Amino acid sequence: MDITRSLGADWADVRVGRVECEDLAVRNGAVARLEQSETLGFGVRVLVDGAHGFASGFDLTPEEVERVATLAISLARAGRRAGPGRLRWADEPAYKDIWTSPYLIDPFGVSLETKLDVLSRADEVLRGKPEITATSCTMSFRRESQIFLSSEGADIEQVVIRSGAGASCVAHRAGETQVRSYPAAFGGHFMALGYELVESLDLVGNAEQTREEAIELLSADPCPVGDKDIILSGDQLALQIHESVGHATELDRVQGWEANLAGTSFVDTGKLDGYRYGSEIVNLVADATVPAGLATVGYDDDGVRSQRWHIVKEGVFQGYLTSRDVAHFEDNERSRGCSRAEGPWNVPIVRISNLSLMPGKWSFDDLVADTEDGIYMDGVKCWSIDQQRLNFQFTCELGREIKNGKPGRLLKNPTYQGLTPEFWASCDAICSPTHWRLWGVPNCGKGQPMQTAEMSHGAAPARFRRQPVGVRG
Amino acid sequence: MLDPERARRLACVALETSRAEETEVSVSQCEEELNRFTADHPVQNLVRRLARVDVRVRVDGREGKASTGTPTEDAVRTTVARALEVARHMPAAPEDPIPLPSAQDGYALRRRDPLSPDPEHTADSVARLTAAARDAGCTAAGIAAAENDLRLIANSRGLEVWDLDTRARMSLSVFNGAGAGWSSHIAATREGLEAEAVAATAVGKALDSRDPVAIEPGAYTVVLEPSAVASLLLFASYKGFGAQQVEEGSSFLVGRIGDTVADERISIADDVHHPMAIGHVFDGEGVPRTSVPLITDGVARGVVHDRRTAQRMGCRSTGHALPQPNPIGPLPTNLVLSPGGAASDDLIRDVDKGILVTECHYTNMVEPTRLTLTGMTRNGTFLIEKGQVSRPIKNMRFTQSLVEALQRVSGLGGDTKLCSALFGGFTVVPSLRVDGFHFTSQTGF
Repeated sequence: MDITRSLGADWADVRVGRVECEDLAVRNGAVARLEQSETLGFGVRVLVDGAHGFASGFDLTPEEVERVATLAISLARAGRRAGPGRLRWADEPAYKDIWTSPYLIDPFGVSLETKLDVLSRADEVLRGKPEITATSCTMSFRRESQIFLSSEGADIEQVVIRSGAGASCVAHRAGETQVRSYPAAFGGHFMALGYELVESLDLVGNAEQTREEAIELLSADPCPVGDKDIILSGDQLALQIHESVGHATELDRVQGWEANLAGTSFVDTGKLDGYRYGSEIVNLVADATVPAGLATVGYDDDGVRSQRWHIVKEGVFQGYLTSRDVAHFEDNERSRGCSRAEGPWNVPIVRISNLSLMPGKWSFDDLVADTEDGIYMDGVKCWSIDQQRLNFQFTCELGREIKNGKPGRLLKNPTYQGLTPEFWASCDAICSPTHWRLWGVPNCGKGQPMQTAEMSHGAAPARFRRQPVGVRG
Repeated sequence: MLDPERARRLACVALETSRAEETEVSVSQCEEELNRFTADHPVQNLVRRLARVDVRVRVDGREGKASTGTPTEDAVRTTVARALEVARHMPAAPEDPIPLPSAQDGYALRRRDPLSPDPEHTADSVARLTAAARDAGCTAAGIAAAENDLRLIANSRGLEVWDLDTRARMSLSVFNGAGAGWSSHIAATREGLEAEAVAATAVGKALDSRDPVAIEPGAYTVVLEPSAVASLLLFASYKGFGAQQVEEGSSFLVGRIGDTVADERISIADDVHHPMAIGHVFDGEGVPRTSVPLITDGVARGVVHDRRTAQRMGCRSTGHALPQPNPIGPLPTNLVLSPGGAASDDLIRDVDKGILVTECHYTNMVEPTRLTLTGMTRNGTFLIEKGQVSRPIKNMRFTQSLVEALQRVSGLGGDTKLCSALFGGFTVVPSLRVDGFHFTSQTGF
């Protein structure tokens, strides 16, 4: 801070942090991964006459700190050769605070034997039938500790613990391959909790059903092509929220800062004037304070205190996900606190907060009974959405046909397509809080250089009327 | 500053500290300078430096691994102790442990001169790109970047290899109302970048793609420019050309080695030694990467191996291990699709009605055994009528088996290009013409 001040920075912040990780995987009956790592680093960000500079390093020596801080200033000054400095910083009080995410059992204090025993037993159950050709049972734990200092006087210490676990298997027979995962695909379920999350998931107790569903999918009928009512499970709906609402409402993206990589957004700032995003029962709330959310922090990496606000209220668009450098684009005096970086060695960018579809009133059984011609889709398998977040196509692991209110035949590779506003407008029923839970996205990639961030999306199963399903050739 | 000497010193500390029967240490450092801009100004201007030291040990048939991002001698000693502790908790490996590889001579390591951060040079490059767009009445967004990637692997059987790879990149998106254009260039040095060509192509496509019209989805002949080809072919490297995927039955090459699996014009290899390729010339265990023919003249020739799959399948490692232990298995990371002889205009000239695709967006895999992929067109999609590009069209979603597409190739360009894709990876590919390519839905722009 002293160096950046002496070199003329208008604004500066410094993050010093340590990230500790533990990753375990049992695969096909053998321990395939058991790694522990820790990384210490620091990053210096400055504004000079509205121009941005950021530099990071890993050697916490006085010489290296001076080199990195000076380099950040040089980058900001040189950047003005490429164009005027136009960055503006929204105001925020300079907090002095210590914040820690709550947990019951420190995952780094649980023995490796205990963790491997759970994974090995779950893996053994998954391998219990000859159709199973590959298995994967995993656990991941992260502890991120960071100090944030700013030239305004902020001094914030935070510690966040995140845990995740899951089990999946691949079944193969006669040229057909299917995968099934528990409780969610791509590494399982993640929350900002301790080892108590792993205990609550009961990987071993759920492995048999996972295996049997994978085998059953081998002989399932393909997803029909046509327009159907679809009921999405909570984990699939979480990804739907993430892709078609979360990324679409990142204000840096709307302003074109992501245009060269992930694209822009159809939700331009003209839509702040009452744009209808979905049906009247659609309420989407961003909340960086929700307990156990992966994006739950005390303060973001701009030093902004965490908040809760509506992105969509009763179907109408309300506002964006913002950081201090883009808040002014929606005429907001204050950032929403969505600025996060993957460790102190990366530059903070706007990230999706915990973003949830608020529950409705339906029981799941009543929702199925009320559906004449539909498909229930569960488990994330494939996703793709266009560069303005309009046209999407998702494939799930498992589909269950619904005819005249009754569950019917199993369907493999259930796929649905849509356009974001029409899709959310077709939402006519959402299950009750009993069915609502937070689902974790631990691997959201964004930015250049690419960074990974994590966030949660709360959802209960919901119905969307007459959506195109199957792959139309 | 991490340099090869410092990396070697840290490796020596690890090897001297370890009491394990076998020890492997991998030291890597990445330094990246990047200027990210939109409209007429940079929004991020950064240099980030990352380091990592991985220590893998084997004691009584039990493996342990630990890592640190703090490349100091004390941190390395702590990491060795942690790896030994992890190994103590591990069950003995069910497979016979394979000894770590020993030194192998006779191949050239890639040791390029590092690209030092040069913020003023980078900013001047950005200024040229944005000026080109502005002069044409368009807006721009993109990056100018340079990266150094140092990796050293040493082990207790005497292996020690290191190389230093470099890459400079610029990527430019240009917007003109509803029209969009894009181009990029990747080279080993800043001087190798062709900024004027990148700007001219991106601006030209943006101007040409004004006022796009919608056309009906369906099966069309497509001319895929190199970036579009790369974004499809990458999925064959993730889910097709690795030995473990064949073992598990999820690769399209299961039982097909020696069979014709693609049009006879198609020859694909993994070749880190190709003149345009970037990347380390040894794999995650220090084994030299060899050039591996995967498909030659349409016939499946083989897959890539690491030492584990090679042992199980009775062949030699091709040098395609990821850092171990790793559940994914060996992967090709430098796919090269051999060019044909056609100029891009020739590929278009023979098309009565078809679509020219500049780039694909958010391609993902629906099904692995046929490599069924879905994604969007992006940044310049044009209708071809009677052998000429006739007008811009709105973007469309495709859902298409890559295996079937390679069987329906009707033309191969001579214009190879080094490409990256949204989810990472690099390939060297030409343009490709494919008949009967399936577009399955539209979007509104």
